[in-house]
Amino acid sequence: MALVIFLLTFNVWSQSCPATKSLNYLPVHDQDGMGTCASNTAALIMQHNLGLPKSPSYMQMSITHSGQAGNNNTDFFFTDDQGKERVFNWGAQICDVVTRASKSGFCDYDQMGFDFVGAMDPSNSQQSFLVSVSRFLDQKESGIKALKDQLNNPETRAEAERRLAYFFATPDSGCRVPPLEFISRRALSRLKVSWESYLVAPATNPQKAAARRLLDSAFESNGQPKPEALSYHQEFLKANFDFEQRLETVEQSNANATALVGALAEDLFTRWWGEKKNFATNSIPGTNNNVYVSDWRAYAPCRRPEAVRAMDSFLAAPMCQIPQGQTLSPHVTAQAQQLMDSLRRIANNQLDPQVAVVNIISPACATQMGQRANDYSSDCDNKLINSASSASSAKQTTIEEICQGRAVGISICTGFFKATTPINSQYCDDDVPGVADHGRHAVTLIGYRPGPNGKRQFLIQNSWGNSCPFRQGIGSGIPAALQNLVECEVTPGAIASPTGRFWVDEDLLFNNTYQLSTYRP
Amino acid sequence: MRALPLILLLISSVAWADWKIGEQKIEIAQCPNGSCLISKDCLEKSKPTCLALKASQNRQKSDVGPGGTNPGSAVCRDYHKAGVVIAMNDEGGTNAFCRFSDGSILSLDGLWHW
Repeated sequence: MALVIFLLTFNVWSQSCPATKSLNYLPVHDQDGMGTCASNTAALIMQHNLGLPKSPSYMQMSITHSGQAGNNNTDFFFTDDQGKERVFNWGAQICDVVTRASKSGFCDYDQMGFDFVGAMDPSNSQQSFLVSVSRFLDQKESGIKALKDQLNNPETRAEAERRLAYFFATPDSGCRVPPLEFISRRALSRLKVSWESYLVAPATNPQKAAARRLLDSAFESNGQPKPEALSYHQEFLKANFDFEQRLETVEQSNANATALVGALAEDLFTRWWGEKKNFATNSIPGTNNNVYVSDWRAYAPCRRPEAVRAMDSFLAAPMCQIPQGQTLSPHVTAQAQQLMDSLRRIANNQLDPQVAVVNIISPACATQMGQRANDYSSDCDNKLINSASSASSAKQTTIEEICQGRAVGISICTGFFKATTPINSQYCDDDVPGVADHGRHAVTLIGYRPGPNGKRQFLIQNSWGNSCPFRQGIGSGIPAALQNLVECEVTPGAIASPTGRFWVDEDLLFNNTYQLSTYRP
Repeated sequence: MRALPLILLLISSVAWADWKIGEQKIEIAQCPNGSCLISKDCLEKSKPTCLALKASQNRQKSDVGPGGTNPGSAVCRDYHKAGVVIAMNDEGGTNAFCRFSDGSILSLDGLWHW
C-alpha cells in the first residue's frame, strides 16, 4: 500500500518535475567558529533564487541581522539536564535574515571592505574586524570576549599597554597587589551604584524592575554585598578575569585602565549574575523542556556605551610608553582603530541600529546595500515559506521549489549527523537514544534524486567548508545503518575528498527539520 | 603556470592544489585517508613531526555550537590553542584551517569527531 501511495505521489510530481534535479553548484563556504549559519543559508538562497552573478556577503548579512534583531523572542537561555547554562536561537532565523536584507540591501561577497579573507591579519581570522563587531553586536558574552580577545592579542597596542601597566604593578615597582576579596567588594560597590542608577528616570519600568531584582539578590538591606554575591564575584574573577584583575592592581597609576576594567567587568558580571538567578521561566513551544528566559538580558543595566568609551580612552591615552625600539605592526594598529571607530559609532547610535549597522560597513558596501534594497522586496507572509509544520508538506514544498529552480533553506536538529541509526527529532528532543544533544543549524537544499531504497534523497550544501558531517564519526566512515540513506558527495579521483555537499534520505532529513524558508522573486 | 600543479602531480604521489590565504598561496593536499586537507609538506617523509599531521591523528570530540558553528573551530582554538585561517580556492569557495605553531595547517574537519 505504501508503495502504491508513493508511486501515485511520485507520479503527480513527475508530471511536472524531473525525477532528478540539481541547481547549479555555487561556492561552498566555511563559517568557522561564527554562528552565521542562517546568513550562509540566506546568502545562498538569494544567489540561487535571484540569479545573482556574485555571492552576497553572509558576513554583512549576519551583522545586519544581529544588529537589528535584538528581539527577545529569538534568543533563549536554558538549563540542560546537567544544570549547564546554554543558549540557542529560536525562530525563523533564515526568514529573518532574508527579510532584513530586503530592507537594508546587501553587499557582494567581494565588496566587503573588511572581510576576513585576506583583508586582516592572515594569521588569525578570529581576530578580524567583522567577527569582533558581529559578536559585539550580539550583546552576548562573546561580544565582550571579542574585546578581550582584542586586548589579549599579543600584538595589539592594548596588549602592549597592558604589559607595561602590569610591569608597574610588580613588587619591584612598589605597587601592592590587593587581596581578591578587596577587589570584589570594591567592584560590587561600583556595581551597586550602577544598578541603582537604573531605579531612576530615564530607565523604563522593566529596566527598573530588573535592576531592583539584581540589587535585592546581591546586596543586604544595609548595602553590604551578600556573602553569596561576594563569593560568586571572586569565583568570577578567578575564572575569567585574570587580565582585568591584574589591571585592577594599577588603579592608582592608571585611571583609564580602571575605567575600562570596571565597565567591562560590570557589564559582564551583571549578565553572569542575572543568568545565575534565572529570573524568568518559560517553555519551548512544542516540547516539555523548561526554558529560562533571561529577561534581564533585555532590560538589565547594560554598560556597553560606557565600556566602549572607556576602551576608547584606554587605547587613545598615552598611559605608558611603548618600549624604545618597539613598534606595533601597522595592520594591528589599523585594525584596532577600525574596531574602535565602529564601536564608537554603534555606541552613539543606540536608538538606531540600522544606522549603526550601515556605518560599520565600508562606504562602497553601504552604497551597494542601498541600491540592493530597491532591487527586490520580501516579507515572510508572501514570499517566504515557513511551513515545516509537517514533514510531508515540507517535502512537497521543497520538491516544488527546487523543481522551479529555487534553493530552500531549512533549520535542522543536527543529532542525525552523528547518530549511528536513523533518528526522528523534529523538535530537537534530547532524549533520542544515541544522541546526547542537538545543535541547531541551517543548511541549503539544492537538489533531489531517487535514492537506492526507492525514497528521494535531497542534496544539501553545508557551510563547514569541504567536509561531510556523516564522516565525522570515530573511524571517519558512514555508519552501516545509514549506508543507503546518506551519501557524501566527493571529488572524483583516487582519493575521494568531500565537497561540502551531501545527500540525505527524505524521511531522515525532514524528520529532523523544524523550519523551512525560501525566497520567491 | 596553471599546469604546474598537474605536472608536479604526475611526478609526485601527493595530490595537491593551490589555495590562497589573503594574497599568500599555499599548497594543500588531501590527508592520507581523504577525510581532511593538510599542508602538502606535512606528507613528506622528512616531516614526521608536523603538528597538523599529529592533530589529524588525535581527533577530539566536539559538537555544533549556537548558530551552527563548525565544530572543528573550537577544537582548534581551545584544545590546540591555535588560530583559524580562512583559505579560498579557485572557485571562490572557502575552507577554514587550523594553523599550528610550526606553520602547518589542517582543515577543521581533520580535528574532531562526534
